[in-house]
Formats: sequence, structure tokens, C-alpha cells
Amino acid sequence: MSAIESVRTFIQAEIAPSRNVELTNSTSLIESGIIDSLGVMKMIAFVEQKYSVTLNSDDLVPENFETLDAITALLNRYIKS
Amino acid sequence: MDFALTEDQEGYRDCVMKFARKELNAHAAEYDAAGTFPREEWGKAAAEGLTALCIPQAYGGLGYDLVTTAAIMDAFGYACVDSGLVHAVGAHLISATTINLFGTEEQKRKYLPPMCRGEWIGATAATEPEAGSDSGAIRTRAEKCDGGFLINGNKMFISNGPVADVVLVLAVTDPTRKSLGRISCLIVDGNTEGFRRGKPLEKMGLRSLPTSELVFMDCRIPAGNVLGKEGQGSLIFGESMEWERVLLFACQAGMLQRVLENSATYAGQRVQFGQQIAKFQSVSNKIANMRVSMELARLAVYKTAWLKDRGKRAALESSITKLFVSESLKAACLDAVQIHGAYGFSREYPVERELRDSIAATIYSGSSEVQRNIISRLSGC
Repeated sequence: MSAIESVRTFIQAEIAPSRNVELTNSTSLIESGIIDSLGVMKMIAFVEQKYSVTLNSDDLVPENFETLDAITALLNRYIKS
Repeated sequence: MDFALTEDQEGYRDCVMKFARKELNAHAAEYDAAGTFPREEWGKAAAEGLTALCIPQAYGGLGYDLVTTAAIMDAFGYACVDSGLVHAVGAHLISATTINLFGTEEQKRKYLPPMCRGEWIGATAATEPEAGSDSGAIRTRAEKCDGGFLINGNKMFISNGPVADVVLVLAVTDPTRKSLGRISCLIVDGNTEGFRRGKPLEKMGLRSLPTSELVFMDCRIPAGNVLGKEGQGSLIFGESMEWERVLLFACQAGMLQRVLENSATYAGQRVQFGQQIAKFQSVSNKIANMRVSMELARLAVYKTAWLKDRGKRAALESSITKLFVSESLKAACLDAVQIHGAYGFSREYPVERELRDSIAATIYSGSSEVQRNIISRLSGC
């Protein structure tokens, strides 16, 4: 499964299971309220564990978690480096 | 998996325990009664390195990892009977740690050396009159102005507030955003115009910990005083909380040991109905419960510290630690009063002070109710 699909599945199953919303790659996650601060922390822990990376403190900004595209772009920087 | 502390870590603990008993304890009851900050003892604790434990040596710290720091804070909480002073040191270390984690090189070089020396006292200001555990309800506003920000608002119940030289302030910088990106973390120097410290609040416990309102009225700070990035405040706060729940609650695990030992000693000496009260199961069961709590509290604290040392997120573990240690300590202190009977209720023994000091731990750093919300959310609810 690609990174973007893994994260999408995780959000739908673990963070917002009761919200019946379609998550496109550009769906607003934070501003729309799908993910709150605790949800972001949960997602960070998930991607760090799944992809064996540790995100730098500089990268812990809401913009990097606002959409699936943004999350994937962030992850790709770590996976490629 | 290795549960043993190293020889060095045991040595640091021994030093801190000897130091605290010799230098910090003599006037604890007086400071509690008067509600005054033990400034002289603060200076001694700083000279001993307690205000610099987990800060890198490059910035004047001792460079210890978090497990070592937790082991030392545990010993500090065990041997120092002035829980207000212990909390003041812990709150200060959290502020310094947050600057170390998210600050620029310039910010670290400016703030951390005097903070490590204890010359500048740190505080973190998140709570407001209408925003306690709900940090999303923060109203303090930081508007952009020429070359910086203008802060207006009130913070409440801020540990170290009345004596703070460096305050990390969570404030709304982008009110157009609904959630995470609204809040930034700003560094305010104690001598900034428009910043005012309130009078120390009268509290039930931790009375030697100076706590107050902080007022910001057109308080202008330079743009270079944003910690991390604009809009990063909530995430900085979340990470900071994970460290806080190790640093403060390691001390409480140590205090739990002291309460246990004092209660066991008293129960072994006090004779009623012709035998030591420790021989009555209703008393010995309380001692057993304290022992179980102490052992599990330490496991929780050290596991969370171990995770942080490995660069892991520990939102769940730090919440479990905070909830368990604080509730266990409060229960142990209540039992200690019961074991000591009328002496526990009197001011002749320190037991009543320990009970008063223990209450706040189930409220600050996120109440027990909020911890249960977090733990259930992170467990799939």
C-alpha cells in the first residue's frame, strides 16, 4: 500500500471513524475539524513508527498535516533522505 | 530490557538526596505557612545543577538524558520536603527544555545559560481564566506590529509567575484559523514593557511555589521571540506536555516513596490495643497499596522518559504516567493521614502538608478527567 493510502486508511479507521466523509488528497483535515490536536499527535506517532522516521521539530507545523498531499510530501522528504 | 540504573545515575541520586536533606528542608514548614518562595534554597538548588539537568552542555546545562534526569528528579522529590520548591524547579526545567527543543540557536544562546544557572527563572503560560485544560479556548492575542507582536490578554495560575524572568506565552496569532494554526508560542522577557506579574495566589498546597496571574497590556516583543514557527504553538505545547509529565511526575514518584516510608515507620512504632498498628491488616493493606503504587509509578515515569530519549512520541504513555502517579500520590497521602490518625491531621507532622501538596497534581498539567479523555481517545474510542 502506498504511503498516501496508508495514511488515508489510518485516518478513516483510527482518527475519524465516525465521520463519514470522503477523504480526497486535498481534503482539509485540520481546518475542517476532521483532525484535532490529539489526532495530529496520533498521526505523527503512526507515520513515525510505520516509516521508521523521526520528524524534526521544525516540521511539526499544522501545514504539514493539513491534507493527505501535504502529509505525503513531508513523508517523502524523510523516506528519500 | 534493563530496569537497573547505572552506577553514575545512582551516584547522582545519592548526591541530590544528601544535598536536599542538608540544604533545603530546614524551613519548609515556615515557607508553607507564610506562602513564600524559598529564594535562598532556589539559589542552592541551582548551584547544585538542578536547574540545568537535561539542557545540553553547549548551553550551560549538564546534558543528561531524560531517564537520568527523571532519576535525579525522583530523588529530589523524595528527599526535599518542600514540594513547592521541587515544583518550581520542575516548571523551570520544562520552560528551558521547550526552548531547547524548539528554539533557534540565537534563542538558546540568549536564554538557556542564565536559566541553567538559575539566574533567570522560567515559566510557561498557557492557562487562562476561561481556558484551562481546553487550550483551544485561549484568548490572549498577539497581533503583528512593526517588527514584532503586540500581546494583550491574561494568563492565570502560572507556576513561577511572580518570579519569572522568561515566560513562554501561548497566544492567538491567527484568529482566522479554526484550530491548530491559530496559536503561537512567544518568549516574553520579564522586563518587557506591558508585562505585569500578579501577586502570588493563596493556595491550599504547594504554597512555597509562587503562582499568579500574568497580565499583558500592549506588551511588544520582537519577531525574533517567536518560539518555533508561527502557528506551531499547539504542537509545541503538546510535545512540551510529554516532557512535563516526566519531569514533574518523577518528583511525585519520589514523594510517594517518602510518604510510604514515613507511614510504614509510624505504623511500626505506634502501639494500640497492645500491638503495633502495622499488625492490623486494615493498616498494613494501606502500606501495601502505597508500595504497589510507588513501584508502578516509577515504571511508568521511566518508560516514558526512555521513549523520549529515543525520539519517540509518548502522548499515551505520558498521560498514563500523569494520571497514575498523581492519583496514586493523592490516595497515598490520604491513607497516610489516616494511618497517622490525629497526628496526621495536626500540623505537628508533615503529613497534612503532603496531602495538601498532593491535591494539585490531579489538576495541573491536564486534570485527571482530561487524561482519561486522552487515554481513551488514544486507545481507539
